[in-house]
Amino acid sequence: MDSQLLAGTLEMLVLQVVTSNPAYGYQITQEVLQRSKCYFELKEGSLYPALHRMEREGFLESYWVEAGPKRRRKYYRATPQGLAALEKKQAEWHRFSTAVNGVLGTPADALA
Amino acid sequence: MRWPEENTNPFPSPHRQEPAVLRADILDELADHLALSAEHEMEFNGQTRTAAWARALDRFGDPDAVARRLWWDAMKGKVMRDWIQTGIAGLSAVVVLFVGIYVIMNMQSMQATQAKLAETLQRMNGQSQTPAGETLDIEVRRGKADGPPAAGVRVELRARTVGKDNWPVSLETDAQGRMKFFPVPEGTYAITIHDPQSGMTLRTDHTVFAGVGTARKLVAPDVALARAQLVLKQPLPFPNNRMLVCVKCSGTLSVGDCRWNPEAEFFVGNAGMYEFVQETGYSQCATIKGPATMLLLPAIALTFTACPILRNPKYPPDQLCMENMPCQEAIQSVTLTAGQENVVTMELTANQVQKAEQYMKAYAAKRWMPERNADEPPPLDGYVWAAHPIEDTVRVRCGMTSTMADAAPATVTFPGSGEDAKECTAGGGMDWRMLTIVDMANLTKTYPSECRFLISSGALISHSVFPWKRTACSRESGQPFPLEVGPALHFEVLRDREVAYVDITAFVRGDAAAAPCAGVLLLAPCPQPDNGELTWRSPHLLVVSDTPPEDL
Repeated sequence: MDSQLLAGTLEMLVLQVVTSNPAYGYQITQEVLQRSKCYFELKEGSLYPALHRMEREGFLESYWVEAGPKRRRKYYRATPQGLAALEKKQAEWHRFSTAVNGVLGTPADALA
Repeated sequence: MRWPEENTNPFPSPHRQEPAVLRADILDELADHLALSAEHEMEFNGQTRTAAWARALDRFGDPDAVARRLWWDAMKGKVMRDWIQTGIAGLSAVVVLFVGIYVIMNMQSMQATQAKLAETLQRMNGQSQTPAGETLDIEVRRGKADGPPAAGVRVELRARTVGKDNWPVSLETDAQGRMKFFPVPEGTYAITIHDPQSGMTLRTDHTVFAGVGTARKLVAPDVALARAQLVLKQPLPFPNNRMLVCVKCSGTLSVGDCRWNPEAEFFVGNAGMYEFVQETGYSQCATIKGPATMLLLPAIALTFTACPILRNPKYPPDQLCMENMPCQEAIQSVTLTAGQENVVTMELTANQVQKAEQYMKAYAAKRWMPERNADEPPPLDGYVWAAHPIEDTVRVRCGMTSTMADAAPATVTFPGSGEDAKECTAGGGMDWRMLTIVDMANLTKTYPSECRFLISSGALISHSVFPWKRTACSRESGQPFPLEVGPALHFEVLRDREVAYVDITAFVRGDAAAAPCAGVLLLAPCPQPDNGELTWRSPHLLVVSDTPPEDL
């Protein structure tokens, strides 16, 4: 995929993943990969800086969970502020995709 | 291969504001991700652990770089703020350093300026207040500005500034006619220049300002000295033929801008008691001052002024002349010639002499009263012209006025006998009137007691004596009294006195209204008839008058 297209939607995808349940980094990559039918393969070099930035901005909050001997796991979940931001980004994305689809054709065709 | 390996440290140096768990959180999070990824490879792809880790790392990329980025993202705000603070602090330090350097340089510059200012002020202060002042160069030329140098000219510098020392300094010009006064404090000075060649003096002023040296160029007169002798002539007769004359000499010679005057503009040295020769009436000798001096005066046109005044024995002639007493002056203008002896003859008229008598009486009445004790009566009116000891028979021509000039001599004989007999001849035949005798100090020093005095040669109308007892007028019988002009008077001394005052209110013979106001009184102490121990004191001839000053 084009990385520039992903960069603009990374935050929205991450927020969407952690909206329903808290998730850790690797889980988020796998969830996005699965939901996008292996289209979005998030690079760790981009994911973690994005997670940390969204946490500093208040869109996400995190907590640690013991995952084994000498192993900890960090979970992220959306904050109310993050949910509002996700809603706003989704609406914007729908308007954008609708417009793009209107130009290009049906979404099914585009996805195919 | 696992990540992180032992002793791995992908982070930069610890930051002082870094949270303690930041590095561990980052490492744990990334390590968990890689472990999950490797486990995924081993579980779903059947790879070995090493291959799985290699695959996980290959897919992840450089975990050290990601860890550093995460650390940086977390810390960049603080690090940047720290850098800014450090930069600001550094910049502030640099600014402070530069400001400090600037201030120090300015202070050094100000100190240097202040030091220079203080030095300048000190120098100026020293120039204006200390005796060390400016230079005053004086150059004296002879005859004209470009004439030959005048050597040996004495220049006296005297401060005129009030409150300062008079600061008289005197120098002589060198062979080049120059001299230098240094240091001369700021102020105004009177310069007096004495030129020995011409015998003339120049007086001028000069102002010295602080910080300014000045120079003066003066021209001395090209005049030689001339010898001159002063001869006085007075109309006879005159009492004792002696007269005090004050002589002035003045003149001016302009040389360039300078006005030179004779040094002896008022030379007392040629004033004094002149003994006039009776036959000629001339005198060339000031008796008090010794032989007549040959005057050395500048050979220019000079004006001589002779001021005749009568002598008072209590006043030295010099002092009398310095009193600048009023007189009717005799003036003579003479142009002296160098190389020869010049004779300056000045003739005093009878009127001038008479005026001198009048002025002297007025002056005596005002200022020459003898000192007296508190118990003595105030001095009375009257004027003593002269008091002379009578050593022997004295012949007196009492012709002080034209009226009396032709008076026939009269002889007065004092009481006594033998050597004690004194005879005095006084002018007579005229109407005399005498009012007061003031000073008898010269008669005697001490009279023990009961000494009587004889006053003769006149008609005594009334009298009073202080502190002597008044006695009755009586005529000394058996004593010659040729003029028969009046009774003799005896005074009795009641106590020891050195000075007594005698008030004789009238001493008249003949018509008082028509009489000239002059006379001669002979006073002599006499011995007590019953006391042979007392001896004669020197009798005195008092020339007295009650003539009032006409213009006073």
